[in-house]
Amino acid sequence: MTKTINPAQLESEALQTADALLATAKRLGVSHCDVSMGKGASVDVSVREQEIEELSRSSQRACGIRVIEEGRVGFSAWADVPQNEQEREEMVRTALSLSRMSTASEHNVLPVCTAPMGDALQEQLAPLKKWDPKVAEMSTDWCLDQAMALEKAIMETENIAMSNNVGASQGYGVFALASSNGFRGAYSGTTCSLAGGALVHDEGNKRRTGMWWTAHRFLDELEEGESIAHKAAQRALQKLGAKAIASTKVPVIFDPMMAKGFFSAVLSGMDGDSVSKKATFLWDQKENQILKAGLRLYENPLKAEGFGSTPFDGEGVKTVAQDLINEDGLMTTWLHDAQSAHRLKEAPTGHARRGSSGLPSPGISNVQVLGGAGDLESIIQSTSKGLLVTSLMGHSPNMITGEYSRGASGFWIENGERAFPVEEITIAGSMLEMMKNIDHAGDDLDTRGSLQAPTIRFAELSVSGK
Amino acid sequence: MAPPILSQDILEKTLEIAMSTGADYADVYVQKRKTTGLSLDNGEIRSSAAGQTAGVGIRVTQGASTAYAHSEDLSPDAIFDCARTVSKLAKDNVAPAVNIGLTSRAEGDFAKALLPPTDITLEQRLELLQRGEAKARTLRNDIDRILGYYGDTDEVVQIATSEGDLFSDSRCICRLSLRTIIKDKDGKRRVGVSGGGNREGFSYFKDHFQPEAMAAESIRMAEAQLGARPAPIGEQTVVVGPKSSGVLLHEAVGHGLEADFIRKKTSLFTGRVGELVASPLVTVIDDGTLPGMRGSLNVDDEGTLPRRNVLIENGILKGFINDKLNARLMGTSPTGNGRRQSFRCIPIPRMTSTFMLGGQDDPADIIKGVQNGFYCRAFGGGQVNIGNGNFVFEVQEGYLIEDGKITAPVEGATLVGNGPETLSKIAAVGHDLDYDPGVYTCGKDGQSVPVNVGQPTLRIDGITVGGTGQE
Repeated sequence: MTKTINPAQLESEALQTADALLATAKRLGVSHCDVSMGKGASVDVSVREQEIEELSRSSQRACGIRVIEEGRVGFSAWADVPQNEQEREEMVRTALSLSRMSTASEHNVLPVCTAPMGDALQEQLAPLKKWDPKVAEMSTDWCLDQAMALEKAIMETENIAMSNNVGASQGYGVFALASSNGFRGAYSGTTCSLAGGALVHDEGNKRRTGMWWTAHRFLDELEEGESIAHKAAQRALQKLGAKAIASTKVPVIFDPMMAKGFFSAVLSGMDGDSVSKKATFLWDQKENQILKAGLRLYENPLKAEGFGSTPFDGEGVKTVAQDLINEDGLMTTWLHDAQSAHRLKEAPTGHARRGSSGLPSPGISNVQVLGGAGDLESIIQSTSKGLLVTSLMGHSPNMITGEYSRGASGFWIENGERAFPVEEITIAGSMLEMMKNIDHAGDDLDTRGSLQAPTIRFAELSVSGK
Repeated sequence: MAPPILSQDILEKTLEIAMSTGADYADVYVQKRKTTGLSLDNGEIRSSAAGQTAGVGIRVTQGASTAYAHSEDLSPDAIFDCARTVSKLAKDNVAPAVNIGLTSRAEGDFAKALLPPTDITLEQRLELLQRGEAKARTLRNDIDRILGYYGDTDEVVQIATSEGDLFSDSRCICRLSLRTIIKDKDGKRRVGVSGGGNREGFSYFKDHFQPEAMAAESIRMAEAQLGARPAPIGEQTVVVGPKSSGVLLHEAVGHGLEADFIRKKTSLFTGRVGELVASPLVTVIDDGTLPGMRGSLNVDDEGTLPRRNVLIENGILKGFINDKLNARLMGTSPTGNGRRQSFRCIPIPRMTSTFMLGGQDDPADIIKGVQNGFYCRAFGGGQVNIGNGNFVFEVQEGYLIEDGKITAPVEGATLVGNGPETLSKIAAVGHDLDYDPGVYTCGKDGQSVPVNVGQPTLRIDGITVGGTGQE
């Protein structure tokens, strides 16, 4: 028997918890504070050789309170919810005692609440379509059936030795925010996913693995298992016989998954908090052209079915649809929370992001890299000699200096075709130069997450090999 | 022994429900944890945070299958409900009558808290950061930015198993770090990092790792990189310094020797016990019993005492890093390496303190013996592909070796190679084995656990250096 979960009721209960904590803080004389609260549950299943490998049911709830007393920030979080007034007081007092350790700063402020509330908020939330009742059922049977079928399809693929990390999940979550600036709001959403990997044996005891996955808010929108199995198997088989190449400088293509990682680093570089510390390679680039004209980064916080969709940010500021990098390639905004905006004497931009038990910090909602044309295959065809990168390893770029140097594998491109698979090489450059160096971009966006990018090509990068 | 969170009665009843359908094994993990964190940024404590979690995780295994459920609600009803949920894994079995009687077992004393954070005031924690910053400022008056972090965790866990064992363990861990940024002549920023911590608690910062020494090391590293040039690229002879560069070992072989990857045959070390997998100069140990260290344990997270495990001896593969489930399926014994991030996660085979034994060579002679090459003093972090053994490392502090001498600093270097190939190319091992000061956290399957690494100076004859420089 599955219990039907009502999202409106979840949101209302989460808000009540947040309200109660806010009321306790006010009663104890705290004038500036905000409370986040989250609750969720999920079922995850993984299978191996047509048996359950792991079946786990998890439920979690957490809340956090941030107090700002005379410009001093203190934060207390519980991975649980205070059940009575005594526990609520304990939580508030902990935050207060920590605030006394902190340095007072005029920049520690709560923003003016600009986000819609009540009915206006509900009107904006409804078209976001974040909730699928079928996913909220958290059916173990669905997860098992899907994972078993996917694994069978992988194992039946010719030349595949075995499956690797095959699993399915369903879950839901709710987030609520209540602030002494007057904001109160909540939203909920569902997520389901299906993922599978394939493994083949190569020379020298090496295993070659390939994997593919699908995720969505709605069950019926997931990619079919057969298709996932095919892609995972192909990705493993294509790597057979991979070898290193000699060091060189050539055009380098990133497939949409790799491009997503690259643009994720670009967005981290736009973090207003890092900018205020000059701890990002983009700190002096605002209003400068940093991408070739025509390519833009567009953010839409009110995208239907988006993983990052929300009408309010983590401090109660309204979110807005806008170009972060416009069609002339100019970076037009920083990503701010209230504190970083105040430091730079700018207005908050609605980019405060926070979990149920963490302090807010700048981040994105839904961002797409738009303006390109063509796809991975057409960009390969237009490359006479170069490297296609399908996997990257190691640390993210150095955000302070913009140095980029990562382990890579993929394919050598010769005469517009994949010539042979490549491994044990590194590619290197500097983030800002690499951004300006993008000479091709497709319109084949990988639509599986809140940040969606197409195939891109860098005109030239350093490749280190044997 | 730690004070109980759940009574023995409740734990026994929970296990009885979990085992009621005839599963092979069940365990209950109860955890209460408090954390405190302070961040320093150029003299300001921008925020101070405290966290508190409590919960229970219940596991049942049947054959190679595991069911897991967890709850923050520690009421008997919520716990029994979790137990009933996981018991359904073994629903097809004939249910025997189960009667579980738990016996309290003594944990080890390898990671005992001498001065737990609960006995320390917030002011004392803050003082460590302030002393570090003050020292750094006296060493240089032109520091662009100083970022410091102090964090500690105090926790109590209970582990009860269907084998009848009950462990109660108090654990703490503290960590302090300082990052200094100075500007080079051309405006480039040079970053120095130093940090350390362990499980004995706050006394570590009095006796072993003082903030002033940390500040001096952080400044030294930043200054050493002034004038750094792009890394020369391509395959070269690389000398790796001692201590923290043991992260190379952790990635290049450690993960590939974790028994879950071996049992599932996804590691390239599968089926190779008794074979030569490294240079005969190489002996690799994983040891969870080193006193007070960040990676050490009194008992692992499924009720096995830690021990010293020889993984590779004189180049020959000897054994794996194992937990209960994989040991049972492989017909061997758990090695005390079943670890988990929290009550929300199942235990899996994880490293503790992983290191290579010292050899015969004088570290200075190792460097003298290299005509042209690359010297890595510190790595940032790394990653490995378990299936093909390929790894990559960020070099945090690296230099050229010219005519047998360490010369110019280089920037932006990455090492890329293959685990077993690199191990077979180890041509000299120094006698200077030492451990990192306690900064590493290892990630696997989305779970983070604290670990240590250790290594002597090594010469590796051929590893690819990546960067933006010339060949």
